[in-house]
Amino acid sequence: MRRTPLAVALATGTLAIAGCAPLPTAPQELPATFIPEVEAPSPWPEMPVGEDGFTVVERVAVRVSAVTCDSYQTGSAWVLDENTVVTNRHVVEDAVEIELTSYDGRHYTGTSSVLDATADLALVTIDGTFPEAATIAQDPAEQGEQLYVVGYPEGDILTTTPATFQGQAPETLGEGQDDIDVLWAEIKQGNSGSPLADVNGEVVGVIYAGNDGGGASSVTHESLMDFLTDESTHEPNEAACSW
Amino acid sequence: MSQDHYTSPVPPPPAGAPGGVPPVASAVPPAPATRKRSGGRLTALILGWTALTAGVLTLAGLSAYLWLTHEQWVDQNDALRAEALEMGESLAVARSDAEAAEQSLDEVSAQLTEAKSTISEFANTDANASDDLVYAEDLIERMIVCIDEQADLADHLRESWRYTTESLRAVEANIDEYCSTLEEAWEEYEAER
Repeated sequence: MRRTPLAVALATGTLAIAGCAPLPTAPQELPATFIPEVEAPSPWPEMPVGEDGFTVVERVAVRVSAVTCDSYQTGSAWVLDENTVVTNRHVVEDAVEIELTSYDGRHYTGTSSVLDATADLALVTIDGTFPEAATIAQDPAEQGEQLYVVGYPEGDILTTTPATFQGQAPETLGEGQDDIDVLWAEIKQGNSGSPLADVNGEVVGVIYAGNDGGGASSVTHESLMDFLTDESTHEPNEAACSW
Repeated sequence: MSQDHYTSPVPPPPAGAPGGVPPVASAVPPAPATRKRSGGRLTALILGWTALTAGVLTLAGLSAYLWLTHEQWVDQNDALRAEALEMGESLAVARSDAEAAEQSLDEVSAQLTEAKSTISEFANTDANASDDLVYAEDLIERMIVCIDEQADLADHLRESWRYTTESLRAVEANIDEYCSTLEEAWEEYEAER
């Protein structure tokens, strides 16, 4: 009986000490908000679009209709500046009449043209003024890059066709020509002269040939820049029909 | 000096103890031992009560602490629940708005695609009509040439004495071939329209 208080004290002390270990703590202060600041996701890469829903490349893609002394042919072109378009040499060579139609149906007439001596390129000057022009990329395309061919296959409706850049290869269709870009793209006759554009809508080449297997060729960015900057390579495009 | 003056309340030795009166030396020591035992018990009692009081106070403090902590958790739980409900409501509204916006965007996108398609169709129809017109004009020009050549041939035939029969027939064959080619081209053009 005499040790009871001591035992009680010991027991109480033990309980108190034992109870300290797992004592719950007070909750932390709540944050001002549970909604974190997040960066807006970067949009899926798509070609810039103009006010009317057409991409910047579609807006400068032009349908070409050329009449030579013995044939009628259609192709594509793109606006270089307010009164000049770029197309293929084989689209307008020996043409006596060149008519151009914009994506929205405006008509222009080609008044003169020059051809490139080394690549399948030509410049056509028109009788009017284009409202906008294409932007040429600073650098050429890279292997595997997603590109777009924008033109008028078979002289028909404006079409944007995806393309994948494969690399460069020697030109085998003509002699002494520059190297060419090789692509995977389903193009058709009439796509000749189409701008080959990157996802930013900047021109990196000019389509000039294709095959049924999904292969296509374009004039390289380098050849294009050489043609545009070196007028010594320009040849006049003159034709006179006997009839 | 009576012995009683010096005696403490120590009880006398029990009667009949051997020897009768116990030796003086053995009768004195028990008095201090009793005092010590009494003081120790008091100390233990005080200590015990002190510890008990401390324990009770500790338990009381612990209980208060636990109660306060519990209240804080409950308050925070309420706050979190309210926040969660508010956020859930906001999320539901945002989802609904997003769905409506997405649906609207789809509709506008479809309309834009349709409008683009219509513009392209018109431009294409117009361009092909222009091509047809150019082609038809060329054919007509060449047919005029054909008619002129036939008229010239008729003049030549009227003055046939000036030409050999072979040369006249050769020219006639050439003109006929040229004109029949134009005629075929025109029929083909008409068929394709």
